Amino acid sequence: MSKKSSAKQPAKLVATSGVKVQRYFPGKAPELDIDLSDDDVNGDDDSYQEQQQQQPVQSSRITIRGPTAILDDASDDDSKKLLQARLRARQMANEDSDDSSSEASTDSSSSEEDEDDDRAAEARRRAAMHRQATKSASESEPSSEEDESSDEESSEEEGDGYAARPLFKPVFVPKSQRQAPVSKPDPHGDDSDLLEQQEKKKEERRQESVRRAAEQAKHDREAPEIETNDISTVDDTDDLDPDAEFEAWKLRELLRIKRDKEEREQADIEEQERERMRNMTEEEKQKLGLERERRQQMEKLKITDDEGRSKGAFFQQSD
Amino acid sequence: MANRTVSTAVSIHGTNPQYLVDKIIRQRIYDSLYWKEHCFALTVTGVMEKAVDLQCIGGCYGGNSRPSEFLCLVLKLLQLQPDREMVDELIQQSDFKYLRALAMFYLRLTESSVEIYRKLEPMFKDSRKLRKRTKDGTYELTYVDELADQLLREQWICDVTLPRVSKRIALEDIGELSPRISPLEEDSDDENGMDED
Repeated sequence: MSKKSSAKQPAKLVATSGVKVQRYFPGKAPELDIDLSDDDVNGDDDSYQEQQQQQPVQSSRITIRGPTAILDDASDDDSKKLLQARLRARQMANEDSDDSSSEASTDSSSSEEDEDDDRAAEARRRAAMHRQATKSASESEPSSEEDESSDEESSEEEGDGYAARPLFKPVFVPKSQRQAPVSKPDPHGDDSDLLEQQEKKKEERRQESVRRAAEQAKHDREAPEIETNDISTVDDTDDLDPDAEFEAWKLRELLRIKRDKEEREQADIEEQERERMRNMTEEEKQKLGLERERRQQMEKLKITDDEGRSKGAFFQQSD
Repeated sequence: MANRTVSTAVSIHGTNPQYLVDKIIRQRIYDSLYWKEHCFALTVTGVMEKAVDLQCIGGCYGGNSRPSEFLCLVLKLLQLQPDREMVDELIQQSDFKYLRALAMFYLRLTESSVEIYRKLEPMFKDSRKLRKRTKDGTYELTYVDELADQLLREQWICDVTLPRVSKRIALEDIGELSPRISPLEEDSDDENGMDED
């Protein structure tokens, strides 16, 4: 579709959005190219403005950028004017950048793109943009309000540089030519504060270590560590204190006797239980067994209940 | 060969007596300096002399699990298999406590349950001190009566797994043993009898 036909049929322009489709290169900012640039060249500024005022929302569809859309949503008169001014500024910029971008694209395809080239292109583009902006302002003679706003917009355009600024390609710089970013020291006040703090910390640490060493030394002096691997630590000489030794033995012996007695009693109890079971009839055994089973189940229930409370949400099905 | 059991030895608990000490410990003993330097070509009397000089009992100790001299002598006795009477004599003598401890240990490894109870229970009267080396190389105090008690009740002493011994109650029930009467109980009985008189 040619640009002229799109200008003659504005309805179609909206329907097909009339945007010149740019090829997308990964890592390269998309060129913001609006089809309406043609109108300016042809001098159909007024008709364009009319059209814009009739269909501000639709025109916003062909613009890609966020801020304008927001402005459209507001649908204010001021905002419309602002939008128009901005659009015009962008068209001029694009008109210029079309050439340079075509240059740049060829450059990039040739893969010998230089940074200098880029910079020059950008500088040229900016200069052209300024020129165009001033020219259009004087030519079209809009209201003073609009002029101001357009100026503002153009300056903003430069400031945010979304459309104008190209994305720089990373370029390898040999190590010999590299310049490390100089880390600027902080303002003197902060620096001295930091130093003071560091000194303070150091001093505190020193004092702490001294205190610990002193404690250790004191501990060693009061209770020297017993070298348990030395054979002389345990004295196995007998009859040093016969009475005490006898008493100690007596205690051991008594404990042994007590332990043996308890074991014997336990064994007796078990034996008696066995005897009792042996003498029971079959019915009594069954009754006893049922009773025991019920008791065990109750205990189990109780246990699971207790466990359930202490357990979290996990592993509840394990038992 | 220095590490072979004597040819006249009879099997104990159905195996070579030396196998009563677990393989790993046995190998460590064979590799130890004390075994090579002091236990080479020892006779039973030689073992007795060494046992008299013992400083402590114990199993393996230290970071690399060195076997103690006591353990080396136990293995040497197992290798030599002294007469039963001789072992009894070593237990009965009361001059050298470490020699007695060694004989008690050997008896526990080799004899039957009834014999073990009969010979070791009288040792409950011996309240002499013994030094014991623990696993980390430190020493601790124990007593002959305590050692006898442990030998009768524990399954594992000085890194040696002891053969199973029947419970005293079971032996009493079949009439092999009479209930043990402690010297303290004897005394108290005597006192009671005197009171009654």
